[in-house]
Parts: sequence; structure tokens; C-alpha cells
Amino acid sequence: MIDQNEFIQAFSHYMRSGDDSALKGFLGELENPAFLRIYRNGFYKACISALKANFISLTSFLEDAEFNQIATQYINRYPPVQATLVAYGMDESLHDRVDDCLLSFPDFIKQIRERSQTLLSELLPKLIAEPLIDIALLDQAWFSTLNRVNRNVVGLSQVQTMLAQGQDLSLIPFNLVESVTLVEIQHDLFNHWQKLRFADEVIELPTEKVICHVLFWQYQGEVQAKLLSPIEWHFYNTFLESKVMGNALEAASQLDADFDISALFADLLNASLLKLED
Amino acid sequence: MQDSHLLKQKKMDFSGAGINLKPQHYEEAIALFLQSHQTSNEDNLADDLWFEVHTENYFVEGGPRLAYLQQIRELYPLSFHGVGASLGNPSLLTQPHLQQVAQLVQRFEPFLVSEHATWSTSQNAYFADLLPLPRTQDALNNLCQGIEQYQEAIGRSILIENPTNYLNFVADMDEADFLMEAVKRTGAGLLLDVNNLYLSNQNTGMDIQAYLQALDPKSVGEIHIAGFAIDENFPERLLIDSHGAPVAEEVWRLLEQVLNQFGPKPVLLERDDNIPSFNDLMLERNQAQSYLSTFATRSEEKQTMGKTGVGFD
Repeated sequence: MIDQNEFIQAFSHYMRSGDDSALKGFLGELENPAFLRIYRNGFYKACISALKANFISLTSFLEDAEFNQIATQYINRYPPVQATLVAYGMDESLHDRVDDCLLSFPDFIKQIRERSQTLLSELLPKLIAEPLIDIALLDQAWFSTLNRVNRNVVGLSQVQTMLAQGQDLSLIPFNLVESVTLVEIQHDLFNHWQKLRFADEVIELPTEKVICHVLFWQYQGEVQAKLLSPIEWHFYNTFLESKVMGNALEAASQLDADFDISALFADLLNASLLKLED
Repeated sequence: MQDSHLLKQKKMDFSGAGINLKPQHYEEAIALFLQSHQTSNEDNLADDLWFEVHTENYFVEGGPRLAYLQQIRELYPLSFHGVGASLGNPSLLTQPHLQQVAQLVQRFEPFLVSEHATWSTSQNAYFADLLPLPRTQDALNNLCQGIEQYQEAIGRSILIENPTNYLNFVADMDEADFLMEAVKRTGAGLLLDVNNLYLSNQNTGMDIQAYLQALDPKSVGEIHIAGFAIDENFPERLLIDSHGAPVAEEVWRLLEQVLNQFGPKPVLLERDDNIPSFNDLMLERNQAQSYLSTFATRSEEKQTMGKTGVGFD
């Protein structure tokens, strides 16, 4: 009598470890256990392929063998937990996590870089020498922005109508659209990332540490990205955290008393970055 | 949604040849429809063409992927093929997964919904492959429970696909009997993948003729064809369901036999790796369509002869 739970446990153990000893008892007498690797290879192939699709610039930057090596380590430690690979390796795939210790692919790269510098410098010199984490973070932001939906977007004409009706704009509950993502990177490589992402151009990345901030959002079905000035970053970050535009404007004005609120508001409307809260 | 295509979707005896749709082919699929309908060509390439997508690839909130699928759905019949439900291990079939499938089914109204008679999820991992079930009463009960949960969640019946076998695991029953029993108990249908059947024969000695004899022709709702790879280490003994090559001659012959035996059914050309141009895929798909047209004509002739008292033999 075969117990299906035992079978699945033995198979799962094999898939995670490559140890087929518990599974051999379920095989017919004449079967070759070496054939089991077809299943395990299929699992790794699918996961690596998903990580490559989700981290396109990182894939362009690293040699295939280098990417596969680090991806395999990630899969071993953090196999997919959702039954889809669409967002595998990204923060958003971990929202339903039961285990708080799960890491996204960029966080995993950061962790292994911090923990095992000596070993990695031998295995993956690029991981040590180059700001890969920033590239991975920008890839992640681009992809998650792409698959979001903006609702109740406010256009310039709508605001003009409000003004014509005598409405006080400071009382209107504006918020940033759902697709807005802010990313902080440790190197000034936004332009380098764009070349990697859209021109598949392999280039040397800057190693000097310079903190930069990038805004991603979706406009007419396409992802837009913009390098932010420090004051813009302060504005968007406060807006995202407080969900109140007045707070964000005040925070920006504190940094620069001459901050042009009208110009920024027009930019927000032109870029379809604002929505009306329900 | 356009009325004409809603009608097409609801025509359940539809039996054209389709292709599993990849993002790199969205634009060409749309262009083909528009071109085909600008001319009044009788041999319209877009006629009877349909597309199948992997359901889980559309588990996204928005973005171009869903927008393209919406456009495709307005032009062609569409089928959803699930790869991640892990029906054979239903204790881990989650409500969020089923809800996402249900939302997609409700929005796109596919003419077919299918999944696999396999498992892929255990406690802490999704193995992203179609793993075999032991063919026992216990496993059969669990599979039926998984199918029923899935069908209940989406409010309609599904087709379940026969797996590719690479090894013989200890079993209480044949695969065809196992699947037929699951179909009988749950009201599901069968998606017969003839490439999987051919590979199971080559890899494990599964008897194709006995297998086909054991199937109820009425239960077969769709047929899959695909290409396979030969394993580098065991080239004489192991064929892999790669979906990365054109359909092999042996699989075309098996398709011919299956159509002859079961009558015209929707046939899908699967290609997931080494993806060729849309035109090349269409050429291969058209070969399947020509088989279907031949067998559809023969079926009509048989019916006509039956009505007029003229029989074969």
C-alpha cells in the first residue's frame, strides 16, 4: 500500500536536495533513478528562466554562467512559494509569505555579498566589484510598475474644471497613482541601467558610492522612469508615506523655500501621476 | 466584447487548430486577424485559429500582458491551460490561487479550461514542474478532490491532461483507467496530449493502443501536440517533453490515429522553448488544421451515409 503523503514527501526531498534515497522505494524494479533528474532539471530551468525574465538588465550584465550560479543559490535557499513564476524573485511575490525570512532576489544578492565576500570574490568577481544590487533593484521596480493598474487618474482638464467650479484644491484628496515606485540606489548608474535594459549594451558600472533616487510609474501602459533631485525625492517619499499631498509640499518647501509648487503640480498632472481617492 | 466572437466562444463543438500564445507573438496574432478580415479570401488563415495561454502567466493586476490578452480574446477563441494548481495534492490548493483563476475565467470567458493530473506544490515550495502521481486509490481520491475544488471555484468543468512519464512508479492501476475514473467521478473531460503519450510509450513502455482503447472518446475535449528533446546521457532510452522543437513525425502519425479514432477535437500546437517566428508556428499549426479538416469532412460523410442507410465496412 503506497501512502501518497510519503511519496510526495520523498519526492519533495529529492527536488530540494537531489537525494533520491527515499524515492527509490517507489520506483519499479527495472527503473533507472538517474531519470529522476529530468524533473529536478525542469524545476531549475523554469525558475532560472523566470529570474532572467524578471531581472533583464542583471541578465545582460552578467555572463550566463555567472547568472545561473547565483540564481541556483537563490532557488536552493528560496524556492518559489506561489504557484506562478510571474513575479518570482521580487518583493511583491513575497506579500503572502508565511515565512518572514523569505528574501527577494535583490535582497539575497545583498545578503550573500555581505556575508561571504571572500568566497564570492573568487566565484563571482562581478558581484563584489560592481553594484549589482542597484541593477537588480531597478529591474524589480520596472517590472512591478509594469504590472500594476492606475485607477481614478486625474488629468489637467479635470483640475481646470474643478478650479472653474471654484473648488479649493487643497481640500481635494489627491494621491499618487498605484504604479508609483521609488527606488534608492547606492551608485549613480540610472543611465547605465537604461542602456543595459533597453539597448542590451554591456558597460562598465560606476563603483563610487553616490546615493540616487529613481521614480517609476506607468503612463499610457508604458513604464516611465525619472532620476529625482533631492527635493523631488523628499516630496515623493513624504507623499507616498503620508498619502497627503499637503504634507509632501510642506516637506519639500522646508528643504527649499523657493520650491515651485505650481510647476511641480503641473508636472504631476501632465505625467498622470495623480489620482483622486475614492 | 464583439458579439460574433462571443458566439464563437460558446460554440463548444469548435475543433480548429490553435497555438499556445507567447508575448513575442501578440502583435502578429492581432495583425493576422486584421489582415485576414480585410480580404474576402475563402481560405482565411485566421478562421478556426485559436490561442491557449498558461493561466498563471496572467496572475498580474494589470499592464500590457492583460491588455494584449483582452485584444486577443476579442479576435479569437481563447483557452486557459493551468500549470500550477497541483491538483494531485489538493490540501495545498490555495484559495488565492483559485480566486485568481476564477477572476480570469470570468473576465475572458475561455472556451476551454484545463489543468494537469499531476502535483507541483509541497509544504514550502512550488516546484514549477509537472510531477507524477502514484496511481493508487488514495492518489485518485486526492486528484478528484483537487479537480472538484477547481471546478467549484471557477463554476465550470475542466479538462485534465495526461502527464509525460519518464519512469514507472509503483502503481495500482493503468494511467488510462486512473484518468477515466477521475473524469467519471468529477465530470471533467480529458486533454489528451499525444506527445506525452508517445514519450510515455518510449520512456516507460506504456502501451499506446491499449491506452487509447481505454479512453471514452466523448471525454476527450482537446488534443495537444508538441516537440520533444532526446536526453544527452540516455539518447536511446529517454525523451524529454521539451516543447522546444517541431512536432516529430511519429507524433503527427499518432495525432492522425487519434483524430481517426475520436473524431475532430480542438488541437493545440505547444511551443515553450526555442520559440520560432509566428509564421513558422503558423505553418506547423496549419498542418494540424489540414488533418482536422480532412477528418471533419470524413466525419460529415460518415454521418450523412449513416442517415441515408449507407454504411462503411
